[in-house]
Amino acid sequence: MFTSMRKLEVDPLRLVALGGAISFAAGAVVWLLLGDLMGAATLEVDIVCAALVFYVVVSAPRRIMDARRISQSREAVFLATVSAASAQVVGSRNRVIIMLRSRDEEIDRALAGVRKALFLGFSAEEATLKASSRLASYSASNALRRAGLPSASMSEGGEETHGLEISGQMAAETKLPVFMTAAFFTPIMLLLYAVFSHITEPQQLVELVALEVILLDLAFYVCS
Amino acid sequence: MDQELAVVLAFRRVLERTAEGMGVCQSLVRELGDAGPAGEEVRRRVLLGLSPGFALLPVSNGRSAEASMLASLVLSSRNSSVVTTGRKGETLSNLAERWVKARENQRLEARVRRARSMLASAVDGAVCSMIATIGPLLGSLANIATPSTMAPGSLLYPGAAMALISSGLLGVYTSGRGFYLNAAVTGAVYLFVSLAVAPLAIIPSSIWAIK
Repeated sequence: MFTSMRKLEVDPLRLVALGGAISFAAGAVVWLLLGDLMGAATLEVDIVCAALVFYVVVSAPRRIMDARRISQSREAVFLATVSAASAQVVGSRNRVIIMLRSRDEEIDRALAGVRKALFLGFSAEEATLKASSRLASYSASNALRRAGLPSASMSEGGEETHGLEISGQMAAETKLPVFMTAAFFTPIMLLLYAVFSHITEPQQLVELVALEVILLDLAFYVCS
Repeated sequence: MDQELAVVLAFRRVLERTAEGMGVCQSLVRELGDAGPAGEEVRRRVLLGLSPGFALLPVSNGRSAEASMLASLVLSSRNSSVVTTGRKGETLSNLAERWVKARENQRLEARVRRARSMLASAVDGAVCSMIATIGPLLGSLANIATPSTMAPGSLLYPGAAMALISSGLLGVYTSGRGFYLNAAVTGAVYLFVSLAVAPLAIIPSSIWAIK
């Protein structure tokens, strides 16, 4: 988590403070919305909602980096292939790096930074090392670091993509039953609560529906 | 064969031909004939005399990231050596083929997940409907000394709203824009079960008199 924060240039303390503030605000909103609907369990429900909001906010950088890693690891293979093919023909590492383009936004931005550094007189090693440290995918980072060298490896990005695909499938297999359980049992439990607590007022019933929306939304973001 | 895979395989053949020394345009015309509408369009553009950059736009701007990647590789060969790029591109084309096949498997798995979520939505609709219909009766039986004042159909609308929201979100989670199918299934089952179970929720006044 801290690696992703560092790569996105996000201060961990600020993110924690932001998460705390947002979760406090979310807890207050839930408190105001529910009132005394849940009786003695109001505090617990409030704490659970605030904790889930905090997790969603603090884990945002990791989610962003995970999403970027897949596209970058795929692009790494392309970058390595073009770079190796051009290096054999062109002969100049700087010229190869200047010619390189990428369809991935982040890699293209990093390549633009490298080009700028080369034009300013930095060596290829220095320029690529600095730009590659910001990339989410290690194979994209390696491909950029070895750009323009004829010995660039093309299999690394494939291996990373394969690993990411497997981990993505496993994550989906784990998260789907969790969300399905939440989506299945939340309305049932809330309806049973309404029945046995004799909740008949329309306003209280609307509050129960609102509570369901909040809980399911949070479960959705945590599981996605 | 899947069109996406057909385009990827056609580009692999293009790279093989260029590695053997054939020109880019000639290999595009020869190999993209069987690659679906996008391949046909590229072929037509090349034959009309457009440059490969313009001719490959339908593929490089297309939905398939893998085919777009291979098209970009073919285009990049103009800046270096077509033969060397063709040789080096073999690994990339193999990987692209594997990614397309993996995505096809994922599509099949997603279809199974959608079916499961649809089933869960239907069961959720049925259970919620039963609770909302018989719930007021159950609530009053729970406390016989002070029977509930809950009207028989008072939970029907909140129950329907809850069931529809949960199945809609489940649909968004499993099938994105196809969430309305989950909501429709839940709504239909909810309506059917509530109509079927409604007679059970009406208690003759004589029973309360016995109590």
